[in-house]
Parts: sequence; structure tokens; C-alpha cells
Amino acid sequence: MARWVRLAIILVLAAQHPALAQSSTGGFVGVVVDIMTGEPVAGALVSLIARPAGVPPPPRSAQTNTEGLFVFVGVPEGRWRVQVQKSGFFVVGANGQAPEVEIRAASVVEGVIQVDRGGAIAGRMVDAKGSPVSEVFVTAVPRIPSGDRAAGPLPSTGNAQTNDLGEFRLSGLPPGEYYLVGRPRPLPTATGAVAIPVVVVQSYYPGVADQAQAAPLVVTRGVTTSAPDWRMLAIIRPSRAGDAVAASPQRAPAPQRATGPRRRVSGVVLDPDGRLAPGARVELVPVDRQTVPGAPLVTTARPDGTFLIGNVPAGTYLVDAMLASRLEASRVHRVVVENADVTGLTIAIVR
Amino acid sequence: MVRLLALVLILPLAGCLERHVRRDASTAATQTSSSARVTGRVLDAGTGEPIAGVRASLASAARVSLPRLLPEIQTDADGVFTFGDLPPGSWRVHVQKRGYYYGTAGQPPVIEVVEGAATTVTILLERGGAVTGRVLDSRGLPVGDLWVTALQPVQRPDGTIMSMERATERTNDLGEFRLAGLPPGDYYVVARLRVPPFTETPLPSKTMFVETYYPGAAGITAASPVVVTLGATTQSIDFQMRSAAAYHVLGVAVDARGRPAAGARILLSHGRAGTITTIFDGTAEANGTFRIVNVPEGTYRVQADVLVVTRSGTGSSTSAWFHGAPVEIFVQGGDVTGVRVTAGQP
Repeated sequence: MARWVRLAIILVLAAQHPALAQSSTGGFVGVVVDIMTGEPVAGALVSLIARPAGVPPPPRSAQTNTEGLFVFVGVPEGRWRVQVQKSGFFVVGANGQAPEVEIRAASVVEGVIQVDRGGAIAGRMVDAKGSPVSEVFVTAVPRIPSGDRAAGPLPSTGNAQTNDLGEFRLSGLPPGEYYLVGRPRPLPTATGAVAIPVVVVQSYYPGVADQAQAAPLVVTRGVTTSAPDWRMLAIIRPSRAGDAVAASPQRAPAPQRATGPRRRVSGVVLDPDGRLAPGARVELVPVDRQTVPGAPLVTTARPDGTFLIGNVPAGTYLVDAMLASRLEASRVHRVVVENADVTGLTIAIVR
Repeated sequence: MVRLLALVLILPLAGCLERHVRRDASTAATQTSSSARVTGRVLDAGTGEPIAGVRASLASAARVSLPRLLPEIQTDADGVFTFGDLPPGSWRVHVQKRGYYYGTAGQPPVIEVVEGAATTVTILLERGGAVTGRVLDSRGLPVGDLWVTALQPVQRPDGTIMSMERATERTNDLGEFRLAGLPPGDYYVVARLRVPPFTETPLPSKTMFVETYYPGAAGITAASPVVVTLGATTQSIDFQMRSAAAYHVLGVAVDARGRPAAGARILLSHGRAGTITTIFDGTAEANGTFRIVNVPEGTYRVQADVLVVTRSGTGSSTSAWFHGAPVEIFVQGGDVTGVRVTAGQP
């Protein structure tokens, strides 16, 4: 099944176009076509994005005209990633990876980019009281089949922000299974000496902090899958005395002693620009009487920006993160470890 | 030692300010910190409930200094935000939340921050009305990725009417839009092609979608107003995007002595004051020529501006735009060539 996965992007090295040729730059011309109807797609935004290696040139964009055509001239030599943005469509490519194009000096590459109508997920985000939650960033993360881990993590597809009614719609999703992740804006609620520790908890559909407990949604071509009443776990809570973090759906009323079982604390670190911050130093400092006083538990965020601190006794901790290269740190977060692992923490480093 | 610690000043405004910014006399007598702080509380004017996740920032309200913005923060579950370690002075409190507007006060309040004091401000936001609808093409298919804007006609002191942009959203893959947080009143809804910044020169198209006002008008004068009431949604504002044949405009920009104005900024625009839309913003070639593609039929102004940067001996530099006289052109039934514009003269 799924024939649409087959052919991706046809890139043919064309004859030289002297008019477009320059010393160290080349050109890229092509057409964006709807694979099902064969019709050109007008108004698609085609972008050339440099690969991470080397000094990244700024991305360049062109919009297709009514015949679906686009043209880039004076593009620096090298391999570029091709991204196509058009509401309701996705690029037919291998494994959800963006196609690439090799630009050579004094020549023009011609390409046919095939796009297909994807499926959509529409829903509404509410808080514990059932009131709509607006301005939450929603992303669909493809579910990786367990036997296919070697392929590496698939990029998250599509993102949207909830509107004033808490509604969102993600379209142009390749058919498959997805987890929905909602991330509140990682902003502090106070500055300066009065800064209040905050914990930002991301929420997976239908309202859990852990991806393992999340319900995947099936997306079919041309169909809108409904995700009603998605419960946002916590927006940003000031952690005042005695205030626990709702990071686990089944937490015990009383914290356990340090002699009890050990848990894991995990999440992601974001830099001041909101990007994942690999290499950031994450520190877990025990602060309450239930916890045996001792050295802080320290780890370094992994290359994907996530972190995990294992072997954590139950108790209350302050969590903070710091960038290795710079003197920038996050606000201090407060987290309560009880009878379950604490997952989905988002620690934002601020300037 | 009793000091006047909380002083909330409001900009001179018409309307019932009392309702929208309360003066809270709560002071922090026990506060020992020498730096000032501002604690704000944001409430829904209709329900009195706190609003969580409201973005808040402070900008210096002093007339002499440049606006100084502090990092943005947001309200917690109790609708509260706090700026600590604040330099004393006048600060304008900007708050923003989808679906809300400032109410009849209309603008952000200004507060006076005194050294060593804690100032409290309560800001009431009104839940505005909304407009929803769909944009289709001539075949009845949805048009995604358009910018849809709600324009509110506002009378200026000199009696003329100008259109204020109150909300802009993108149409989704079904052509749907929702414009929220609108103060009650009459609006014009307009859909335009999205022109992303920093794009390559587009290839010519035979036809183009052109600016379309609900229910399908070419201009605001022929458009139908959409009535928005407080907290309600005006639905089914559906309309069809207009298309027009698109042509090229070719010409040359010259200086006062008729020499090519290489690198001059070329602007092609249409509309009248208040609703001017720039169709093209580009640069003249080394020989002064310019080529603008995808210009739909209509009347336009072409203008060539020159930027002059002056460096002083101390290394600082100032820049100024010199605007050229606009030339009116009429595009109908074919390409327009030989347009000659005189660039701005330094």
C-alpha cells in the first residue's frame, strides 16, 4: 500500500544557461505539481535551506506562479535542502525527509517537485475547568514504528497555534500515525529578584505529560481527524509553598522518603531564542527535609536538546539549566518527584 | 515612614478609565529592596476572572529617551505578572492576549515607578467580537495562505476617514479564517495575496488574485461593512477572490540631470491615503532600469527613492530617504513600457 511514498523529487541536471550563470553560483528552476491531479500548484512557497555544515547562508524563497513555476538565480554552490510550503499539501519524499538539490557553478538545475494533499488534525485545547486555552503551539510528531528506530527520529510535521477559542488545525500531514504535542509559550511570569520559579509542562494528546501514555491519532489522506477536548496539563504555574507539579497523572498524596524507589526526571532545554539547547548543563538541587541533603544531580543536555536525570529520590528539587558557552541560565524551576517519573519538563534559558 | 508608593498615571484619554484601570493603593510597606517593582493583574472586564498567559512588557514612557523595552513576560494562572529590579521612571504597560483588546481605554496604561517602591496596576481587557468566513476561487475551491484583514474605519481629527488594521490572519487549507479580539463596530474585510519577505523575483503569471473586499469588491468604497458586536462571532463572511490579468511594467529611474539612478528604490503602489498597498518594492539596475512583473490591471503610482547615508567624523552615521515625485501609470490590456521616473534628490 501507500504508493504515494514511492517517487520523490526528480532532479535533472540541465544544460548550462549562460544568461543565469555566474562565477560561483548556479540556478534552480522547476515546477510544483499535484501528484494526484497532475495540475500545477500556484502560490507554493519554495525555500532553499542550507545544510547545517559550514556557515549557513540565509534561506532563500520563491513563490510559484499560476503555472506552478519557480526560479532561483545566483544560488551559492553546494547542497541545499528544498522545503515547500502550501496549506494542505506535503512534499512527496522518502521518509518525510526534505528533498535536496546540488547546485553547481554556472549551471541550472531543473526540478519537478511533486506534492500531495495530506490529511488534517483539528481540535480544541481546554484547561482543567474546560475553558479554552489559546496561544499554545501545537505540533504533530510522527509515531515511529518500533522496528524502525534505526531510521532516526522523524521531523515533526506541521505546527499551529491555538486561536482564541483554543481551536487548532494542522493540515498537509502525510498519512500515518501522529502524537500531538502542545507547548505553552516558555516565558517567565516575573523578572529580577522577585522571579518566581515556574515549571512549564508540555502536554500530549489527550492530556498526559508522557509520550508513552499519549494516544496516537490516525491521519488519512483528504480526511480531517478530530482531536476534541485536549486537556492542557499546566500552563505555567508559580510554585509557591506546598505547590506540587502536575507532571504525572497518578501521583501519590504524600511524598516518599529518600529511602524509597528512585525516579527519573526528564525534559528539554531551550535557548533564549526558543531553540533546543544541546550541551546545556542541567542541575537538580534537593531542597526539602524529606530529601537527604547532598550534592546536586547534574547532567548535560543531549544533542537533541533533551535531558534525563536518573536515580532521583522522591522529594522537592530546584531545577535549572545553563548554557555551556555563555553566561546565560534559566530561571529556577521547582519540581516535586513522587511515585512516578517526571517527564516533559521544558526549561527555557533566558538572557 | 509612610511613602507614596503606588502611583498609577493614565495617559490623557477619553472614556471611562475608571472601569479599565483601577488605582490600587496596595503598597509594600514591608518592602526593603531598594529597586522598584511593578506587579500587574490582568482581568476579563466582562467576567472579572483573571486571564492567564497574557504577554506583558514595559516600554519607557519618557518623551526624551528612546523607547526602552524590557523582556516580555506573561501572567500566571492568577493573571499576575511582576517586573522586579526596575529603574524608576514612567513606564507604559503593554499587554496582549488573543481574542482580547484594551476596552474603551483603548491604550496601554502608563505607571510611575518610584525608587524602592512596589507599584500595582490592574488592567481590564475586553473580550472582543470575531468574524469568521471562507475565501474561494472562481471555481468554488478554497484559497489557502491568503492574508485576511479586518479594517475599521476611524475618523481623524481633520474629519477624513482612515482604515485601522485591527486583526490579520492567514486562511487555512479550507480557505477559512477567524479574526478575533475586535472592538464592536463596523468593519471591512479584505483578502490579499501573501507576499513573503525576501523572495526571489517572481515569474510572470497570466492572471493574479487581486485584493478583494467582502462581499467581492475591488475597493473599500464598493465593499459591504461587517457588523461586529461585543463577545459575539459574525459568521459566514464568505466571498470569492477576484482575479485580473497581470502585466509587466518596465521603465527607467533617472536623476535630475537625466543620468541613470542606479540602485534607487522603486515602489509601485495603489490606493488612497489610509489604504495604500505596495505591489512592488525593489531596486533599479546599474543602468537605472527596472522591471516589475505580475501587475494586475489598474491605476498605480511609481516612485524612485534614494537613501543617503552620511558619516560624521566621530564614526556615527545618519541616513535619510529622499523621495522622488510619483508618476501615475494606467495598466490595462497590455504591458506598460518606457515609464520614466525622477529619483529623489539629495
